[in-house]
Amino acid sequence: MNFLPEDLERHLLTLVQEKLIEAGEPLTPDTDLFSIGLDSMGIMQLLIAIEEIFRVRIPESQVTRENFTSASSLAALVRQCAKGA
Amino acid sequence: MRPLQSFNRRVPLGGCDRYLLALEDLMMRSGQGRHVGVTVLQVSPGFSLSKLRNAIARFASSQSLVGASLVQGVPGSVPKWVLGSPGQIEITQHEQDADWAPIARDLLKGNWPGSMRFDVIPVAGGGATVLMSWSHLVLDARGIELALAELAHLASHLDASPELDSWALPPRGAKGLRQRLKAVRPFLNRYWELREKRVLSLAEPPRRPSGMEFRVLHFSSEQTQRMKKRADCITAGIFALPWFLAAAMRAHGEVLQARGQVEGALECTISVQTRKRGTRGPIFQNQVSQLFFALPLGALGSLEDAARQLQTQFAEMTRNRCDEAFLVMIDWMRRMPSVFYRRFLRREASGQVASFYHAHTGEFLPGVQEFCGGEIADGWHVPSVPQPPGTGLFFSERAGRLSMSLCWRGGTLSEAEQDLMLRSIRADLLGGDDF
Repeated sequence: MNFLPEDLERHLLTLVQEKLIEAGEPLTPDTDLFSIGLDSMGIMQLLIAIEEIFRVRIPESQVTRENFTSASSLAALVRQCAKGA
Repeated sequence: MRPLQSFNRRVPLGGCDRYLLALEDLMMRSGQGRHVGVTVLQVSPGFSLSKLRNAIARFASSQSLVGASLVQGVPGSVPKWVLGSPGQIEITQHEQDADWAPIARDLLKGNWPGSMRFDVIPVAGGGATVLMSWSHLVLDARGIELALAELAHLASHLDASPELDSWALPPRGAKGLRQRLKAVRPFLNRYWELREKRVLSLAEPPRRPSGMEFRVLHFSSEQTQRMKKRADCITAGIFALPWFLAAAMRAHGEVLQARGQVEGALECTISVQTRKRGTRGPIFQNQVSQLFFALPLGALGSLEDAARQLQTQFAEMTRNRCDEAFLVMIDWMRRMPSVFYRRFLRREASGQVASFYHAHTGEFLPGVQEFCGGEIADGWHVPSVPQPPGTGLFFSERAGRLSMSLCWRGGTLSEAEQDLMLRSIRADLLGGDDF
């Protein structure tokens, strides 16, 4: 059983901003991450960071553009994968 | 990024600087010229050459690396950046509607001074084709686009102050022998894994100097959309890296197999940016790490299979922090004598570690719509490649349209082999027989 923080969206946004993307304006949970430069390497780093920090492994079939579009969609995916773990 | 605020401060030697200087030295010794590239921009009517001249003058006067050279002093000593006075960037205007390709071919010989230059070909109706030539010692692919973005900004804002000295201090890495050995271990493990393979390339060291050749393919919006839909089936459409790398590997595999090669492996080193995404700098120096991908010829059966295997390697290398380990390694190596680099590069450049060069640089000049008064219609990169390996496949996208540059050293690929490679890529990316 995984214990995820309630404000998972905020944790994911902090992760994105600290490690991956320098956005010109403040990011919100609904900011389109692809439009601000999320690329292959960034997605892979995000996947690995989620595994290491939240102990949640995201199956390959769930790694879709839709699920990685924003911190909100990603948080929903992480919660869903954590439930299934 | 920690930009400096004035000229004539010491620019520290980065790990990539040292590596690229040694590579360029090997290229010069075999008559291949400097390691340079040309970036092509097609700009719509409204383009103003005087705006470009003005922006370039302001840019050059604010960036000390424009006029700098990386100098190897006494043999065996550590090279250093020698900063001159604020640099000059040459601009040449060509005949209206001149063909850009022969001009670019000539520029790729690197027989021009400094680290950057511009060639402008006016197009009937008011637009222009702008060629930006660059030295790889000073700029990487992202840096070139950041420089172009800065020029576009300066051209649109005549009162804007240019960014000063946009280069970065090397990262503070692990200290002490034990810590460093631990930090570089993932890179060394991967390196030794690859050394056990028989890595193939399409060219041996040149017997006589050979120039750069290239062919550029442009795909329509509809074709680019089809490619993305096709990529959805395997890498979820969001991992461009393994998908395009697999297509490039298969294209090289086709040529090797046509030459009768049945055993061995293809290896490709992919540069990954160390700049944060979305930043405006640092513009100068190569800010990259590298990941090392390899597949045996026998594993290139289908694009899907090849992409899946490369995706697995991508995940493993990211999980093992191979990119960080490589940075520690080259930072550590930068003070080592040239002879050490030559041995390493000869091995790499002898087809034993690198089979070809490849990059997908993503969206070309993202967020920049206008360049010196004209709308940017298209843009792509044509880099030179050292021989061996002698070939490279480079992708970029502008406004939903993919461009691909196949670059090779003269004599490396026959015309039939070029066609074979391009047919393979088109068939793989577009799918089916309808290409």
